[in-house]
Amino acid sequence: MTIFGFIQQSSAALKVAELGIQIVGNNVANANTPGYIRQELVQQSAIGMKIGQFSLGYGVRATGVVQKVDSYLNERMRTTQSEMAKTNTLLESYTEFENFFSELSSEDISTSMSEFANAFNDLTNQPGSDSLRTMVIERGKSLASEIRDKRTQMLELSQRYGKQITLAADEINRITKQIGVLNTKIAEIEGSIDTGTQAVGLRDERLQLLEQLAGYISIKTSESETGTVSVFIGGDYLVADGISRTVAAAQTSGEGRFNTEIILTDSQSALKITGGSIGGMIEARDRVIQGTLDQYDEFTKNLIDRVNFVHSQGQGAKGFSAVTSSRSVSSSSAVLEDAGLSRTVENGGFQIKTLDANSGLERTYDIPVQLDGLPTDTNLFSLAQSISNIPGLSAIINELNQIEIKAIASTTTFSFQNDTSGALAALGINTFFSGEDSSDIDINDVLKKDPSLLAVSLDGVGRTTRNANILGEIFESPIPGLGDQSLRDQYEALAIRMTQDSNIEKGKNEGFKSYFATLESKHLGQSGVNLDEEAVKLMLYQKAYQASSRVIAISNELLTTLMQI
Amino acid sequence: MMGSFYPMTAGRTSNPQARFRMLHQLATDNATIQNLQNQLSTGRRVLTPSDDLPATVRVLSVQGSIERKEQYKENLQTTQSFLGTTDNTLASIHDVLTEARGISISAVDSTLSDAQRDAIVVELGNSIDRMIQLGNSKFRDRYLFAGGNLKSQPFVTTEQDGIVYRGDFNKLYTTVDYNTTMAINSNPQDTIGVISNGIVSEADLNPGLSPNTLLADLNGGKGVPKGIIRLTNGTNALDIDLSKANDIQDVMREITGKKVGTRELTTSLSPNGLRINYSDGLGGNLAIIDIGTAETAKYLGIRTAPLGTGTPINGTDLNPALRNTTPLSQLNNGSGLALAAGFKIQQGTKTYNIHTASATTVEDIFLAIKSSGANVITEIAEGGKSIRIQSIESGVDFSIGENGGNLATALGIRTFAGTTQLSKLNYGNGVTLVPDSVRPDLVFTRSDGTTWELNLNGVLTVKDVLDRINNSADNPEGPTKITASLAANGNGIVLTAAPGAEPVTLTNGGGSQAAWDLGLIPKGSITGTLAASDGSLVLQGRDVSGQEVEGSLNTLLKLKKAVQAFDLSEIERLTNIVAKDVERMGLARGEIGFRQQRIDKLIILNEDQTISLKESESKDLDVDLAQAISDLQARQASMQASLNLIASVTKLSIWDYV
Repeated sequence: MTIFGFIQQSSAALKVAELGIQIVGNNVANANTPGYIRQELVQQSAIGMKIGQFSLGYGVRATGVVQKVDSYLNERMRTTQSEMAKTNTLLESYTEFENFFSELSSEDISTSMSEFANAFNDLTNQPGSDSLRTMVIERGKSLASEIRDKRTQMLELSQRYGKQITLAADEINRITKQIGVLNTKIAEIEGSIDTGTQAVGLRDERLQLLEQLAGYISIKTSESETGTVSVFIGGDYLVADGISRTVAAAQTSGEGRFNTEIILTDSQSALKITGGSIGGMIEARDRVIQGTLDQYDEFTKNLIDRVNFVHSQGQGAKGFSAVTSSRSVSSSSAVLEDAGLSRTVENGGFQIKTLDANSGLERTYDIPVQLDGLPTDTNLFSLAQSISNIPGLSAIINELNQIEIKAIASTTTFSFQNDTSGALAALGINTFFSGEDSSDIDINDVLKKDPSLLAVSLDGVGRTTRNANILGEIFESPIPGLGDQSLRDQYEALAIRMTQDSNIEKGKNEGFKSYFATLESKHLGQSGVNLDEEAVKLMLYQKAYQASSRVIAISNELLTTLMQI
Repeated sequence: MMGSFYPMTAGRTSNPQARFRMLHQLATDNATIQNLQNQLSTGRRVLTPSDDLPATVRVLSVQGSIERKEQYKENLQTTQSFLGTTDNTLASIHDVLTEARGISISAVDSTLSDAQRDAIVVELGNSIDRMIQLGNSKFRDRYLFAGGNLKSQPFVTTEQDGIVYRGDFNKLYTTVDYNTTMAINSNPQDTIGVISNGIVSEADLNPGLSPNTLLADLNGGKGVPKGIIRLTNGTNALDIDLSKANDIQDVMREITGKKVGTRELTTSLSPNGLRINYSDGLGGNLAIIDIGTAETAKYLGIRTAPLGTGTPINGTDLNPALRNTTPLSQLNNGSGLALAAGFKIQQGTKTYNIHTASATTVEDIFLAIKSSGANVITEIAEGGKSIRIQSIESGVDFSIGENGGNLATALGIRTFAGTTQLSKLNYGNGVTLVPDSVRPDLVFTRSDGTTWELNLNGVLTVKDVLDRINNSADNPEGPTKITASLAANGNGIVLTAAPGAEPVTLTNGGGSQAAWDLGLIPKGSITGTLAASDGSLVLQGRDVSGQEVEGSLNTLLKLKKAVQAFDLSEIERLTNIVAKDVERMGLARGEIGFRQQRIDKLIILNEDQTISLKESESKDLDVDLAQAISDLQARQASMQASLNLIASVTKLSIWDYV
């Protein structure tokens, strides 16, 4: 070793110290940069030389710059993030549900139900009042429109998710493309240097992109030796090395509704997304919204059916001069049981009463509804015939396969009573509501046009309000087919189930949040910049620099001494 | 709410970690403070249902209950006002009646002058007008005394100065609590009295069984519980599900053709029951039983002993109830009725001919009555065996007689039929006879001048009287025979005899009023004479079967007529009835008072319940102010501390020493 060797050695040490200071400077500068992973200089003592019988060290050399990151921790963070994003979205949808059902306020469906029932009660207190009849219809209308509105709101939320999923597809493409590009760059940089140096900065960026992607969808990643990261979802890969596959949003239809899915553009197969905000949206749409909608429809069907059945037994302040069934049958020759009616018709019958205004005479006629599984069983056609057999009435089947009953003389009116078959309710004759479920529930047009047909009596046209008494309690009375639950019980169960689910989701979300916080804390602890630590490092590098400079200076003095000999 | 704890991991720390921790802390504090502020400004602790699940579950049903209870209270209050108005009106009617009682007592005075009588008549006229006016009172557009008839004024004067009731007897109900209803109105019959006792035929019209007879109408309208019956021959059993059967035809269809073991079954109708047999008709054992506690077979009249019985099995009489739509041809076990002649309804001076020739159903008869214009109401009597006709016209008598045929009798509605009890005649006062079997009740003078004394001791019905006259040993066949019969047209006893030398007459026996009370001689007359008619001598007796509306208006109207006619015995009879009217009114008011009390109690109960429901709602939903405010202060203090800490911690740095 020569004195020049000393200088050479120390100058390498100076370079390392400079590098060290530069990295400290970089760390300090990025102390507040989100997602920044602190870097560390890797230095080694240089390979020694054998001089004579000694083996001497040859100074220090920098072998690389590494990022202090735990990739397993990152993977876990991403998974958790996906789950958290999912529960966040679900929670959002639940919160919206709670808001538009707003069951604890006084603008909810159960209040509308009470108001509807109360209107019938008011009518029993003042049975002659036309304005109270109209009030019942109005209350019914607002109940029906509220039921429809809630459904529309639920569907709008579903559609909004569809739009968001569509937008997210572009975002996913942008991210995966960038990851592919970064993969290539990182492989180029890291592969060309075999010192273990990492493509700092690029990796930070890629890590952040992966996090973003995990926010949208649930992904799995694996890093190759060349430093590239492959991204998988379900069994499909999205990014492999520098190649990224594009996705697109596609409309699929099934069970009468449109759903937006994310598919791979090359294979056209749908991605199996279980987490992330998109996973949340898909679950919110398929499980939360559709599930609630199904229960909601079930409730609405029961509501329509129950109110209609009770209403169809009663008589209004006046009789009908003509009425058309609000529901159609599949075929006028189909037995009523199998005619595509949503309500089951049973073997039985009903009565029609005709009233001649001139003589004031009322006549009662039995209309049998025979459903014994025989060829003579009642269909709409034979029903129309039995009704036409009543003197003064005619019944035809129109082109919509509805039955139209008409009084032939203008002085004749008719009313219905004692329906044991449920045929009137099923066909939509003398019913309160029209429609099948929450999409089309409305007041029967007949009543809209003439509130005096509101069937509040059970003792003949214009008498008593016994049916109004029953209708006033309709939501509280147990329904035989519903396991003796009342409609209100059923509705409350629906509201409570939703609240329960919402509550559970809240709990899950909290859990993921705090788990994520733990992971994040760990990650930040490991990969974040500690300024104090950097300060200490800086001092050390500074001192090392000073010391090496001093070695050079002393070597220089030695050289000068030598020169002066 | 956000978890306020930010986990710190052991080992290395970094500036971003510290920063995140502090930011998390601040965010948590802020969120908590905002939530508390929200609670304080809305006054609610539970802002969305999922904030507190158990509370929400409780509150949902409580809120529904409160909404219902408030309506029930409204119902109770309206009913209370309705009853209050009813009571006030009844009090006025009570006054009118009490006044009338006084007047009627003063009218039972044979020394009254014409002017005094006229004054009484005017006074009674005023009372009647006042009663009509009160009877037509309304509360909120609703007649107080019209039953369920919402459309027409209940009390209307008729041409013959009667008053007809146009309401009905339906009750109007209001809901006072969950599935609990209470009648709002009072039955007009219990207050004013608007209807005659009614003629209920005692005869069982006995509709026969037809394939179309509804199961619900069997057993006098009690119906048949739906279920499964089991048929067995001891070895093989067959269960037949009749739960969907609606009429007899359905039951027969379900059984016919089915096999017990290898033998096919057949069904038919015995006139009034079901008959079940093996198709081969070879006899043999068959048991029909109900499973468990079911009673389908029992009520179908075909239940046998558990071990069975020989075939065929003849079911018991299923006794179908009459309905409006029951064909008349099915009555009397399917033999029907002779309808051609119809019958007559008499109300005061008006005779209504009921044309039934074209009637096919029970309702057709009702309609024929209605279209005749008679002021009566018709219905099927309880038990579904017979029909009932009641007069709703006060102030006039009402009776039903034949029109040359036998229909009224066959329907069991003739008021003066052979089977009519004497005790029902003369407004239920019966026929006054001598109290022994020796002295005569009727004394006839025959056409040969001889007299014949007849004692009626022991007679119960009109037919008994006719038989006693026609079959008396003292009234043998021959030229002096006096024959008694019922009028073929209308009502009354008709006496006929062949003309002879002397006029045929009759008179009451001493101490008896039989000739008067049977309508043979006008009241007050001494002798009745058979008059020549179509070659024989005939005495057409009066109709003494007239019925009247049991009510105050009837009493007042009749009292007015009686005073006008100066009919002292009628005034006396009516004076007693006015007393009953007053009594009935007192009872009715008592009943209404009782209902009012009950409603008062229900209102108090309702209010108590509402208060406790609201309390429970508030407990679950509303914010505890003291709690929320102190929480807020604590949070503020903790946030202040966090801020101080953040400020002081971030100040510390080794860089100060570099």
